[in-house]
Amino acid sequence: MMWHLVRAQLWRVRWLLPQLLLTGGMSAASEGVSHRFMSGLALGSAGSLLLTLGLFWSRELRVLPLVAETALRSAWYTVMIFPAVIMAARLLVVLGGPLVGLAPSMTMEGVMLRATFDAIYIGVSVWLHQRADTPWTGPRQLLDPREALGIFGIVLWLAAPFAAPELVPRSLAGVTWLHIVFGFAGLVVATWPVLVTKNQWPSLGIIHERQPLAPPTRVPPKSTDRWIDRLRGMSRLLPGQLASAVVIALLSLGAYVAFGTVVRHDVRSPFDTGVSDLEFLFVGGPVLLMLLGPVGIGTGLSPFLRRLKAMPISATRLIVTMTALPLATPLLYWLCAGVAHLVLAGPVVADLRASVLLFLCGILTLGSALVSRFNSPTGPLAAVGLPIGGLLAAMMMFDKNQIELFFAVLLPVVGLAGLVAALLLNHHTVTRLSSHAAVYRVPSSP
Amino acid sequence: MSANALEIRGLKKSYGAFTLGPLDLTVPMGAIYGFVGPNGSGKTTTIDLIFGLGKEDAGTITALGLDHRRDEKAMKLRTGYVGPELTHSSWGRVGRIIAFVKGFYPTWDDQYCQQLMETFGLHPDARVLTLSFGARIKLSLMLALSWRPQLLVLDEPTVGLDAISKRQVFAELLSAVQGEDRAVFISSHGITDLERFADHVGMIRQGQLVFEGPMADILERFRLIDLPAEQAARIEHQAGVLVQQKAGSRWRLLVDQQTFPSARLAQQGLTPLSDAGLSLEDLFVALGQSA
Repeated sequence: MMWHLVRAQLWRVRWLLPQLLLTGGMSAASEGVSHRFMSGLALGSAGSLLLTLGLFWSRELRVLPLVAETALRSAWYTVMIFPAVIMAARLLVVLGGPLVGLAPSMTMEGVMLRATFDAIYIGVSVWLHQRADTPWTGPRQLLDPREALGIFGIVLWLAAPFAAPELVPRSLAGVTWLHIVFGFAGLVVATWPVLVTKNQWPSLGIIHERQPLAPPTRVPPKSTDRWIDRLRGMSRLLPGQLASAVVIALLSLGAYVAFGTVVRHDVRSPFDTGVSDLEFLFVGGPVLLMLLGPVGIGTGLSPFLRRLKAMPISATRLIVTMTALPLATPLLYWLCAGVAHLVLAGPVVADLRASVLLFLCGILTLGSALVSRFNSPTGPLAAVGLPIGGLLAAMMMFDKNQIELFFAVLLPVVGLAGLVAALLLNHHTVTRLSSHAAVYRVPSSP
Repeated sequence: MSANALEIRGLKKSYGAFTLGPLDLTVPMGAIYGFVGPNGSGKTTTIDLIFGLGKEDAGTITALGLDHRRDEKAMKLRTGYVGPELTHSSWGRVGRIIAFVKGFYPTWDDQYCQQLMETFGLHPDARVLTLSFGARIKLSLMLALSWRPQLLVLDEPTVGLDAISKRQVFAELLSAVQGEDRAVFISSHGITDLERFADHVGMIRQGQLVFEGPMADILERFRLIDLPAEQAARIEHQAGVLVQQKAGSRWRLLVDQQTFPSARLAQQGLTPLSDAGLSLEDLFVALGQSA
């Protein structure tokens, strides 16, 4: 029964496992900022898979002949496979890399120590996800100090994988008593959900007792009235989406500043000539925009599509709005970065990184169009993962001088292609798909 | 073996302004039990609590003689669930969800599953996302019937089904409950269908059970009586009497004979202008209106 469930859970996340393999392998092959980024992305992706599994623990499963203990154990065993996949990819690079002329940045000892950290991180994430969380309802939540503190804690926890290269020694010789104490405490917390198997179904951030499982029509979520109110006109729908874009832009800039302060001990403006396009793209915040943007915008719009189509709004207006809304995130980020530059001063790049901006606009609109089309965040994650993977592959293939030139041509082309593709896809979604399509159904809420 | 398929005693659950119960409910073995009530009366909440989806504030639930919490697994091994919220969409194809669910039930009957697929017009290669709402209900029903559960709990199983499909569904339910050791518990707004197929009925309103019992007894228990206004006014506040309509000099009353037997009309010198029985739908509307 247990392994039947584990197999089923792994099948559900099968498309994301290659991402773990790829990022895990690349983290072992790269150095410096790339190593930090790929390590973070690998572990961050593994952490995000918890939410995918959380969706699994819905009504469909809870009516099956399972006890909560089996359910929780199966979920725990499943998530422990994620760090194992990352470790396997790293081992492959460390052992097989030299055979093809690659110089891995990690040693066997380093891989094992990092695997311990990864397993603890994922285990503690399971423990955290088992606890009832507060769903994100809007920026106003930040005004409540308790909730703001909770959100800050989550952001800090999400940033932990990116700090792994500093937190984990590269060899056994570097292990101190402090590592052992923290490692032991982490292991206890990480195995807690399995050691103390209380009669509690896995929530993994999705289901918890605080939300009654009765149909939402009878017990509407707090924000429903506000949402319906917004549907009186398109203009009522926009403020919420724009507010999300502001939050994402500020979060991205905050991440960039935090990275500069903690890691480089040198906060430079994103438009500073000393920051290359490549560095700006990967550590300056745009990656975060790519990851959060389409999901935020797409999931914000798709539940309304059916009702919007029934309203006296022209299809053209709907298509243009759907395509233009995702542009708000990068444009607002550029605005924030501009303000940051005015504060920090320094020499400014001549083109204000227009090629990166165009690239982001294309990727975000396409990602958002994919969310709206498929009504699922998995599509855009893949859409974002592909260009990131492509860029990283290009980084490994070309040397530093060539890559700058390559990017100057590649980024605007990808951006423009993304914009056109997004427009066409939105046109297809609005004009061609019938209300029978999955896009018009609100995903089943557990 | 318990004489009852499902026993709910003193069940209570509150969230927000809504309170369910205290609720007592009994589904005898061998029965097809229709559970009716207006929207928001607590039907789905009751079913959720049977399957442990949410925790009750008080009370006990026993299905097939098994406590729903202490014997959770054993109970679910013998109790099937069908509801509109089971989308199964993340499984991709029908065949895959069958393979998954099958793994949990040692009593799974492949032949019967195949037969149900043909009856319901489902194909193992069909994508779940492309199935209509009705077809998904049929898929849920097929998944629940294929392992021949002793107790089948259905939450709105006929929502979105056309008349032909409804007949198919109820025909399968009737064949599933053949034998004294099986029972079906259906929550539905399809009152006419329930009246045709169910042999027991219970009605819930604002979280409280209004009545329950064998269908024939319930339909016999309530009557619609027309009285002259001056006579009706004399009894309108008595227990078991609910005023349905005040049309000039003629009032229509719903009378519960359990608390207000017909004989009392004559005793009080009342002369009904008309006295008629009700269909389940009429009774549902009459009691719903008087809420």
